[in-house]
Parts: sequence; C-alpha cells; structure tokens
Amino acid sequence: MTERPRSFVLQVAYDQYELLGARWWHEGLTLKPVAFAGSALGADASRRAALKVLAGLGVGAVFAGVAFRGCSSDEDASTSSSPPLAAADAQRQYGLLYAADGASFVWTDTTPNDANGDPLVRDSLQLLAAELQPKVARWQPFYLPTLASSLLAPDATELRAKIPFVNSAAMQQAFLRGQALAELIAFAEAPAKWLIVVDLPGPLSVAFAAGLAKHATPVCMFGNWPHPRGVVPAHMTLSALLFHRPQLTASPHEGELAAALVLDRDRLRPYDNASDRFDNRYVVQLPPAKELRDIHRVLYVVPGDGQAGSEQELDDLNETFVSWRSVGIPVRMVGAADFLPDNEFAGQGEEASHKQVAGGGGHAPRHYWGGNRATHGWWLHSLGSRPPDGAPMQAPTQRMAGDGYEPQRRPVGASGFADVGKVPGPADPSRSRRSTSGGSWSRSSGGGSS
Amino acid sequence: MSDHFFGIQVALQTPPDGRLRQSLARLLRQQSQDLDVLGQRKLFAALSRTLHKAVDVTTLGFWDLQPNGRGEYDEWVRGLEDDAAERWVADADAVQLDHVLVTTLFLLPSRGASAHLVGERCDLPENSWMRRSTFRTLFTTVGELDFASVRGAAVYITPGNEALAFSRRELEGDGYDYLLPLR
Repeated sequence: MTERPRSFVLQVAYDQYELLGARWWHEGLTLKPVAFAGSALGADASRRAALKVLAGLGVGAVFAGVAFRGCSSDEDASTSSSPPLAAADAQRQYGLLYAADGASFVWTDTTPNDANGDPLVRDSLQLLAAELQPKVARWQPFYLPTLASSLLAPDATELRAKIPFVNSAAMQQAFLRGQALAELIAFAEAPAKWLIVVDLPGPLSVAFAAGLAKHATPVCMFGNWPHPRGVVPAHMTLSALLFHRPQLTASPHEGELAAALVLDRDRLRPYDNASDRFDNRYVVQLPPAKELRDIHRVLYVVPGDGQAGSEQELDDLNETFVSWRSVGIPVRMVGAADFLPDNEFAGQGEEASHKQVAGGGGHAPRHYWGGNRATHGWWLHSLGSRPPDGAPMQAPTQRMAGDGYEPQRRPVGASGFADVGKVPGPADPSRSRRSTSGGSWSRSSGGGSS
Repeated sequence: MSDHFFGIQVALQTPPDGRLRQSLARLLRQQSQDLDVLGQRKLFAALSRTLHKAVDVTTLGFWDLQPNGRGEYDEWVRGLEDDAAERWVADADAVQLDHVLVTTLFLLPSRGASAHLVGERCDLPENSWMRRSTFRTLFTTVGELDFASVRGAAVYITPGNEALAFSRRELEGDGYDYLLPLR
C-alpha cells in the first residue's frame, strides 16, 4: 500500500515549561479556486465572490452586519433606499429573515425520521455544512456550503428549532431513479471519468443524488439561503438534505467514483418582481473546462417530464456546457422521468425487481431506464458501460428525453443575469450596517501573548 | 493570491494537571510530526471536540480574521514562540493559578474552501463576537476546515507544562488586553 504523502511539514515543535506547541506548513499547496455560485455573473459575480471570501470575513477589514429585521414603512418614507443587494448577502448582513415581515417557513411532506429511520438531532444541524463537504478532495473546491450554512446564521434559531425532515413521494421516486442511474457507474470501466450534473427541483436533486451516492461523490451546489417569502423554496431543499444526510455523508472516501454536481433547478424560477416575494434565486457556475481534463463524459439529468423547457439546459449552464463540448467533453442529457418502475415485474411481487425505498418503510419497484431491464441494458451499453454478460439489451421503441441533445450556444436573456437574486437594500443602511473602517477589531499593538 | 489569517485564542479555567490540560497536551504531543491532510483534519477535529467540551470554562477570548493576513500570522507566531525563550515565572501573589491559554492559528488561501467556510462562519454582527455561542461556532469551524486549502496551521498551549498555570489576573492585565470576557 502506498504511503500517503506527508504534505503538512512540521516546522517547529515546543514541549517545555513555557510552551507546548507545533506549527505546520503545507508544502506544495496548489489550490484550485472555490467555484462560487454568485447571484449574478460578470462583475457582480466577482463582487459576490469577494464578499464571500473577503467581506464575508467581516470581522476585520470590511464590515460586520448587525442583526436587522427589515425596515418599517415609516422609515421607508423618510429615508432613501440603498441599492439592491444580492439576496444571500442581504441575509448575511441583516439577518436570515431580512424583509420577511413576520412570515414563517412552511414545509410539506414532513416525516419524523431520516432515511435511516433516525429522529432529528437538532444539536447536529450546525454540522451539516461541514458534513456535506465532498469526501473526495478533487471535488471539494466546487462544493458550495451556502444553503447548509444558513443553519449557522445567528438568527436561525427558529429555523433550527422547527426545520423538519421532508420526504415526498416524488423524492422517493427520485431516489430510486438515482439508484437506477448508479448502475451506469457501477458497470462503467472508468467511473472517475464520469461527471453527472443533477438538475432537478432541489429536493428531487437531493434525493436523486442520495440514490447515486454509493457510486458518485455528491457535490452540492446550492447557492442561496432559505427565506419564508423566497422565490426558490430552498427550505424544502434544506430539509431534503437533512433527510438524506445519512446517504449523502456516507458516500465513499475513495475508490472508483464518479462525481455528481447537485443543483436546484428552481434557482432560476420565473419571477416577475412581485413585491411580496424575496428573490433568492441565483446563478450557478460549474467547473470550467480546464478543471475537467480528467472527465470523459458528462451526463446531464433533467426532469424530462414533457414540461416546457424540461429538455434544455438552464440558461446559466449554456455557456459552460458549450465550452465543455468544445474541448471534447460530450454532454449527454437524460430525463429522470425515463427511469420507470420495472414494467415486466410490476405488481408481481418479484423480489429481484424491488429495492428498499429510503425512509419509505417498504420496498418499491426497481427502476430502469425505459421501464425494463432490456432497455436499461441497451442504454448502459450505448453510453460505454458494460452491463453483466447475458444482460438483455433492446433499444427503446419510443422517443426518450434528451434524444439528439447537444449543447448549442444560444441567447440567454437580454439582460443576462443582472437582476437575478437581487433584493431591495434596507431603507436606511446607516442604521443597519456598521462600518468598521479604521476600527478593525484586531489585537492591540504589542499585544499577543508574548 | 493572498492568504487570510484566522486565529483564535482562549483562556480556559482549568486546574493544573486537570483532565482537560492533560487531554490537550496529549493530543498535541501525539501529533507533533509531519502530517497528511487527513492527519491534520483529525488533529483539529479532536482539538475542536476538546475545546467544545471546554466552552463553559472558557473565560476570556479573542479571535480574528484578516484578509492579506500573512503578516498577522507571522506576528502571532513570533509572539507566541518567543514565550518559549522566556523562563516561566508564576504569578506569586495570585489567589488561584488555574488558567491556560490555547491558541490556534491558520493561514488560509483566499480562494480556498477553508477561507470560504471561515468567511461564512465569521460573518457575524459585532454584538455577537464575544458570545459563548460564537466561540462554540468557531471551535466547530476549526474541526471542519478543509486542510487541502490550508497553507499554515499552528496550535499552542501556554504554559506548556500541565502543572503550571496563569492567574486570571495576569490574563486581564498588561499584554493581554485584547482578551475579552465571554458573554
């Protein structure tokens, strides 16, 4: 067995009356940048990235927000508003419930236990963001902890106290569909060369990724915070993450694994600036082509349910997919809806065709692409996977979602994404945001422990 | 690419030779060697758990996060390691010698996952900076860093010998005026 490289070199160690200590230096650290899902592209994306990594560090150099719960109408009338803010930035600075106006989160499809059948341990909620960090280091830079980290917000007390598990019937089906797709990876010759982009509505993406997790490292890319009036129902996605936490966090550390970038398709939900809604939409930035030199195939999972636009990549992915294709990484589309219960054995109680449903307390028909083992086998084979010898193979007779798909550059909106995820600033920013310029809270001169 | 400085220093009220002191010392002595990323993660996860258990006996604290923080990191390192060169003198007039300082310092590349995580956790209103709950969050964060994106890391326990200790008075006096009481 090859010994792991000792990348942290001990520079100095003390063990004496006065001091016990050790200091390490990470030799040869070559760092891939974190992929940020900004609220907008271009200049705004840079600004947001800076906010998250610099201003978000608020303590020292930039500013630290004080808890702010929105502004009264009286204040609105007497002061001028500050410019619109990125939604997550506004929530970080002024509170999770910024501009909530007393609204509360509402959950549906709640369930008392998680996918393992265990009850919610609320003391563990604040660990979620860390636990979801991909186990495989190669994918860690692309993980976005934003949604899970909302549970750490100082004023998330009520959210932490009330958030339940959710597991809808659609999530249960998405989980089975994820398991069906996992077979593709299980029989692939080089799973690590596969990248799966799961782009379903948040809770379904989570469930699908949980079904995949034994064979594909989940990389969550949820770039917003939940809000009671949110355009994007991110609180449902957060609850789904909690429900499927056992599977998502149990994904193997090593071995021949694919990766699954887990997106929320509702991130760009149509929104008409209704005043009673909080625009917590966002744009996601997938890894650039140069970061995917080891990837040979991309599978893009869409709903494929016949709804308008369900067989097209979302606008924010178009440019990236085109760039991937331009460097020889093919992007294949697959419709989640094409994974169907085994129609050959449906209703016959055939053990071999049934799988455990996560948290469902029973068994459900195993799902196959095209609804039976023969089309499933054909599909695996068509993608270069090698199903077991003797597995039946038959091309589907009907049209399947994604047939003929190939990413093509297309216009993605006259104004780009400039207005996505913007919320009005506070009526009187000076009352709600304290500048610390010149007041950096730092160690006093000559201080320290020396 | 600039690095951020992230540092925490806490004063723990714990008797000399107590279990907490022994636990901290044992942990650090065992891991004072070259480590891989996983080893670093385990060390700081264990330190995080130990500090978590000590939140209720954390009396004074300081934490800081600074962009372009290489200078700050070096200054802290120098300040703390200079202690090793000065002979320990206990506070002879103290009523009680029952405090120890634990310091963790990190240098985090600005576009790495760790800087990102710390940025998320530390984006706090000023009135919460010295809350016990904030330190609990900071201790948690130490255990969750992605060491693939940590350039430098250090842990110090002052004084180093488990039988020695500060008095509270010392830590509230000159040289330690940046340490503030936790609320």
